[in-house]
Amino acid sequence: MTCLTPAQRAMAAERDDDDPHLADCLACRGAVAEQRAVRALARRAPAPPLPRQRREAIAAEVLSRSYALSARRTLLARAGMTGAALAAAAAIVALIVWPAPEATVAQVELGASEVQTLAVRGVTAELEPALPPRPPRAAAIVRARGDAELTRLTLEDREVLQLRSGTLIVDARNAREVEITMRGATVRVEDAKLCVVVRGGVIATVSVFAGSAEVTAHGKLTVVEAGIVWVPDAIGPREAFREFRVGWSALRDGNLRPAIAAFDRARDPVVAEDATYWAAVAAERAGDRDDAARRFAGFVELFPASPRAESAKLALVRVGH
Amino acid sequence: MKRGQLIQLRPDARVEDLSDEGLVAACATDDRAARALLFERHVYAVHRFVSRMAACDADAADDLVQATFVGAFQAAGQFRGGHVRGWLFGIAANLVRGFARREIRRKRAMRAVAELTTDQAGPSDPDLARLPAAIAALPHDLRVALVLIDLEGEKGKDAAVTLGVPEGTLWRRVYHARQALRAALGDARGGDAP
Repeated sequence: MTCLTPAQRAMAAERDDDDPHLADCLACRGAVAEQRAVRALARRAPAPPLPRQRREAIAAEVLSRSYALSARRTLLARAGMTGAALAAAAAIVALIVWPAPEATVAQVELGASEVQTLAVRGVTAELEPALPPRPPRAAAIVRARGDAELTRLTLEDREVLQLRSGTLIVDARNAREVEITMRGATVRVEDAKLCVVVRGGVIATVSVFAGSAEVTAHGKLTVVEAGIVWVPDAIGPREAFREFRVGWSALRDGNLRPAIAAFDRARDPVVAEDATYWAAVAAERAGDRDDAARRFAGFVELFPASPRAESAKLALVRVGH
Repeated sequence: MKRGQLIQLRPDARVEDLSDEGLVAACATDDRAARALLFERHVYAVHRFVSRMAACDADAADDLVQATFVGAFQAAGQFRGGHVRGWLFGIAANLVRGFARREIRRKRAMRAVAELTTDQAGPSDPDLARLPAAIAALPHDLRVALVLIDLEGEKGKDAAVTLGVPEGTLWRRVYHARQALRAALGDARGGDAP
């Protein structure tokens, strides 16, 4: 009779019914009993504790890191597409202007009116003068909402907007750099679109729709990426995640106003998208159609690429927006 | 139905209703709610697995749990279905292997790790108290097989898929791991059987 293999002995220890072979084989029976004893001991090992605070800290770190990775991946993808487009354009230009095989052209950067002749590998080639300087970039599109008070100053290299109150939408894509100043804060906009809200002379929010902006408030510089709403003294990712959980629990329990308040406090990018959406859902469930409409519209505007954007648009129809 | 009434053809998809596999698919599209929910569902299991596998201090375990989930979110696009918890364990096991190598280089021996783990365990049963150190001293392949089957209660088939080995190989490793544990615990007690 063939004895059980090690693998079979290990598997036999898992089963309650004994293999018929064990009835006759003392060696195998002993081995399986030992396997069962160790298995039973291992099953009794206490689970390592994971207190709530540590779990929340891990959650905040994980979501923050994964968010940063997603943002970087998006940037790399964009850079890759841009690079590929540039490479393709360069290849087309090279095909069009590439000289005959016997000529070798050396390109040297020259002044606007200079013409220079160079000898390269025994071939003389006349170089073209450099292109004339490019025209300055266009001014940014600036729209002020309502009773916004601002002063606009156009400098050679940038525009400076001093915003005292109100809402300002700046589209500086393919335009000159814009600097928005207000009490205690400066926002630098380069190749981006955003909305700045100032209340009582103090910056309230910066919502970036495209590109990214640098917000310097009280000496602290923050880069705000597209899809993010920056608010002063925003709570950190850990607290934001905690607030999000509070809001989530409250929403499930039907405590809608506390849920909205908690979601509104969860403004860190880690949970901002979800908190904004669920705050709108809570407002709708609370029967406050105006607030729900405002929140869903804000969500769609801020997070147009969100997987919930379609749901938010449907909700807008539902609440009669 | 009234004329002009809007009807919703498909009910709102709620992320909390998604299966584990659906959550991983949603994670691949950078859905943050899905990530948060996947984390919520499996953080305890991953933490338990990592702590038992790595036998490290709490901070290192937390780092490994973080790295496991960040790695999972990055690799979500390559997930081809199956047992999600096992998939997470597979990612964690690879991270623990790298961690153990670094630890061995740094501390020169598992002795230091054993000291850390005995501080954590503290059960009254002396065998149970010695168990984490004995597990930590096992070779990686045996340890991961034992932790998956005996401590986490994974099915043999799932554990084999997690480790990418045939089921027979997995059970052979489990057998040898149990034998080694028995010997280690017996030696520590002066040769008695467990």
